[in-house]
Amino acid sequence: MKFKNILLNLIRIGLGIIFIYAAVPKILRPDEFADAINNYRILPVFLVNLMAICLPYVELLIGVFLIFGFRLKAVSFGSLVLMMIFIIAILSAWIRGINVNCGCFGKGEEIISYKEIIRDIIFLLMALITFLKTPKWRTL
Amino acid sequence: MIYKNYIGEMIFWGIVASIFGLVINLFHPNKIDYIRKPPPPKIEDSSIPDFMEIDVDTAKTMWEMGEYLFVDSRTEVQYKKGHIKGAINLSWEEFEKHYPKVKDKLKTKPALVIYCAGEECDLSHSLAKKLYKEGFHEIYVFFGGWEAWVSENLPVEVSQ
Repeated sequence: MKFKNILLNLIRIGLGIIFIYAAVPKILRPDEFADAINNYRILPVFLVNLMAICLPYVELLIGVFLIFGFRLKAVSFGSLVLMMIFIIAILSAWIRGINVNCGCFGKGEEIISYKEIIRDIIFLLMALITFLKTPKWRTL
Repeated sequence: MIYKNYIGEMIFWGIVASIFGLVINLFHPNKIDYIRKPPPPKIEDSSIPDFMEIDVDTAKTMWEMGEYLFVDSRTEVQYKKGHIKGAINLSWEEFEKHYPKVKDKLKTKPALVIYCAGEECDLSHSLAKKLYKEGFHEIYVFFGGWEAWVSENLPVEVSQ
């Protein structure tokens, strides 16, 4: 029982660190992140910059709340939804054969491939476990 | 705080974080426009001839000859991160803003080689048409672009 709890906490905190790690470079360079989003050719152009400005802060909030275990049911749900959106975006670019840079952790050096998809599926599972294992009443 | 459900609560936190981001962008050193400008419309004009498309080997030869000015049609951010050595930046998306600044430079060499990110991107064709209309008639489109150049380990430079 104890071991299981430690493991769940590790997954939750690990996921939080990943979210913060992904958010910081995007917050520092919204211009680069906006280009990365634009290259996916999914969003209409007028939404691209708004997304580039807002999304990193949502990721940061989710990351910080996950680490501190604050409002867990809600933010773990948020992390789950975001990971699903990211996977769909990457998959759709991959299927359409667009050679886009992932933009996942800022910089955008990595061209998307199956590796990014597998990595994001692992993150998705971490989010799913955190979400399912958080009791509804748990707030702090 | 009492919420009916976690979905509603997450939307609430998402809005809080977004407003935070929108406000911070006002003071951000790398701030961007809230609404991205659409790229200029494509030019459909049958009086413009098709441009000669060149592959990476030809581009390399032309680059070594030094008689051709390489023009990077990608965004300023992409250009600054890395571009073909000696190339100048004329972003198609911000043509009106950048063109007056580089106009004179474009005339320093007898011919232009335009490139963008790679084979699927058509920025270089759009830019080529626009420049043709501006009076530049010696234009080549390097269709492999930045990706082909990098994969051949040809000279690049970074400006920042």
